Amino acid sequence: MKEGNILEIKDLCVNLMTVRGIIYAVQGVNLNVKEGEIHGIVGESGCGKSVSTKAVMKLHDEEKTEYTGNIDFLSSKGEVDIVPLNKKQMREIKGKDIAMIFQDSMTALNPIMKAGEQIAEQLRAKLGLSKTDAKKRALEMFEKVGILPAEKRYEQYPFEMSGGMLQRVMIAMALSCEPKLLIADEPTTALDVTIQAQILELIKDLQRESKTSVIFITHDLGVIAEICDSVSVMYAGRVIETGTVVEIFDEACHPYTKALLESNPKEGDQGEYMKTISGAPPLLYEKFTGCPYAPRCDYATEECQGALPETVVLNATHSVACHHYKRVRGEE
Amino acid sequence: MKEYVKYIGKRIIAMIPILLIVSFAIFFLLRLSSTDEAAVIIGERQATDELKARVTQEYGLDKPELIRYFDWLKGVVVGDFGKDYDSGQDIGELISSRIPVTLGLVLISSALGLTFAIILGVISALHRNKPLDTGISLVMLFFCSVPSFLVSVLVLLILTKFIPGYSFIGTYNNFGEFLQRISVPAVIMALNQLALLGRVTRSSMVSQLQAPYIVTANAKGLTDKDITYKHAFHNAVIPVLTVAGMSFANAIGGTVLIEQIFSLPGIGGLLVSAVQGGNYPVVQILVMFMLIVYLIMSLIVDVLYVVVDPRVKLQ
Repeated sequence: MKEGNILEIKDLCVNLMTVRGIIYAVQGVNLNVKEGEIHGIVGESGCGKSVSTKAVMKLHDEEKTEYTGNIDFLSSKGEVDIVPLNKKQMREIKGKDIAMIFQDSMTALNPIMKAGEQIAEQLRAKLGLSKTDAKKRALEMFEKVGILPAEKRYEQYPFEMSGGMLQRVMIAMALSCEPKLLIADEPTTALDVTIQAQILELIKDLQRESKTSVIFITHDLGVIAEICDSVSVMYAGRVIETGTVVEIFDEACHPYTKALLESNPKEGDQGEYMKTISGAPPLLYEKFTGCPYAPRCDYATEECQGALPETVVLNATHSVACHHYKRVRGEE
Repeated sequence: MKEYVKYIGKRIIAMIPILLIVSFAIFFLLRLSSTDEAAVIIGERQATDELKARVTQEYGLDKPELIRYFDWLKGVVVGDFGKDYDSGQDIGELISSRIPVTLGLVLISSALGLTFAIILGVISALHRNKPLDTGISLVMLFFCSVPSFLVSVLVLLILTKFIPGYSFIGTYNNFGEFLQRISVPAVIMALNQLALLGRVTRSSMVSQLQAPYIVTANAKGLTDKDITYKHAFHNAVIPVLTVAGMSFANAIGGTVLIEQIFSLPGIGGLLVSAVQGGNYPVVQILVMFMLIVYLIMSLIVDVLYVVVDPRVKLQ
C-alpha cells in the first residue's frame, strides 16, 4: 500500500446472484482513500456506489455474492486485504475499524430497542466495556452529536425521534468506537434541506476533530463541493474519473463528469431549460467490452464501442478512463 | 408494575358490559326456539299436562322472559347457576367437574403449540429455502390443512393398533390418568396450532432478517447470535403474538370436537348434549364460561403485547 493511504481498492468486481441472473454490479473499481480525507463518490442510481462500498464491509449476502480483486485496508492491526477474510475476521473490523451510516435512519435502527442501548450494545460488543461504562460513553457520544438532553434521549425509542435526530444517533453509533474509516451512504438524502445542512456540518466537524477518513456517497454535486477533499465519479460499475474537488469541478476530463456538472442547476439559470443527459445508465446484466457511456456520449467514436477505456493517470491525484479525454479537455 | 395492575383492573371492569350483553343475547336467542322447556325438564315421554303445569309453576317458566332473565342473572351473580334440566344437579357442581379437562386441553395445547411453533419457525427461517426448511414447511402445511378430527381418528387408530390394551379415551380417576387421557388430544390440538403459528413465525422472522436494521446490526460487527435473537427475533415475535391470541380462541372452540372424539368428560361434550337436548341453563353457563376464558386469554395477549413492543402503550 502507498504511504498515507488508508484504503486501496484494486480491480474490485462484485457479482450479485439474483433470481433474474447474475448482476455485475461492480466491474473493476479502482479507488484510493487517503488518511484523514473525505472522499466523495458520485454517480447515478444503480452505478455501483453502494454495492462497492458495502463490499468494503462485506455486507452483501455472502452466499449470493462473489468478490474478486483486492480491498487493502490499513486496520488497527496493520494492513489487510478484506476480500479473502472470513466472517469472523471481518467481525473484528466491522463496527470498530470501519463503520457505516445509512441513507434511511428511520429503518436503519431497530424500532423496538432504545436509541442509547443501540450504541451501548456496540460499545460492549466491540470495546468490551462494562454496562455502566458503555452507557457513560454512549451519553458522551449523544452530547457530541447534539442529541440533547442526552439522558432523556438515551431512553427513547426510534419512533419517538425525528429523522434528523435518528441520523445523529446513527452518526454517534458509527463514531462511538473511533473507527479509522467511516462510510456514509447518502446520509442526507432522506432529510429535508435545513436538516441536511446541519448533518453535513456535523459530519465535517467530527471528521476534523477525529481525523477519521470518510467515504461519502451522494448523487448531489453540491454536497461534494461542500465537504469533500477528493472525488470519484462512478458509472456502470466502474470509477471513470478521480481527482481533487478542484480538478473534478474545474478540469473534468470525462464527458460524463462534464455532463453531470452541466446538468447541476446554477444560480441565475432562470428561464433556460435545465441541461440533462439523455438516455439511462445501462443495466448491469453483462460485462462491458466497450465504453458503457458511449451510447449517451457526444464524443463517442467507433473506438469507444470496441474497447473498454484504460484508466489514464494525469497527475498524482487526477486520473480518467476515457479514450478521448484530450478532446474533452480541448487539447486536440 | 402498578401501571399493569391498574390496566388489568380496568380491563376486567370493561368485561362486565360484554358479559351482560352476551348473556342477554344468549338467553333470548335460546328462548326464540320452540322448545317446550317444561317437557325437557320432565322428559318428553312422561310429560303429562298435569306434571307440566306443576313444573312450569316450580321453575317459574310462565313468568315474562325479561323477569326470568333477571332472576337468572341474580342467581349467577351470587353463585347459583341454576339446575340442570336433565339430572336436577346443581350446574356449578356439574361443570366444575368438567372444567379441568377443557382448561387442561386449551392451556397445554396452546403452550405446546406456541413453544414449538416459535422454535420450528425460527429454525425454518434461518435455513430458508434449504431442505430442512422445506421439510418443516411441508409438515406444517399438512397439519394446517388436514382437519384435526381426521388426524385424531388416524392417531387413535394407529395408537390402539400398536399399543393394545391401553385406553386412550374416556373418563379418569386420578391425576395420572387425567394426564394420560388428555395428552394425546392436547398434542393433536397443539399440532393444529403449531402449523399456523409456525408458518407465521417463519415468515415474520424471514422478513425481519431482511430488514434494514439487520444490515446496521451487521455493520456494527455484532455476532450472528445477537443479530438473530436480540434484534430480529424480538421484532419477529410481535405478529406471532397477535395470531397466537386468535389461535387460543380457536382452541377453546376446538375442544368441543376433540372431547367428543376422545369421549373426554369436558365442557365440549356437555355443551353439545345440552344444545341438542334443549337444556338451556347449562348452555347459558357454558357459553359464559367459554367467553370468560376467551376474554382472559385476549387480556393476557394484550398485556404481553405491551411487554414485547414499546410502541404499544397501556391506556
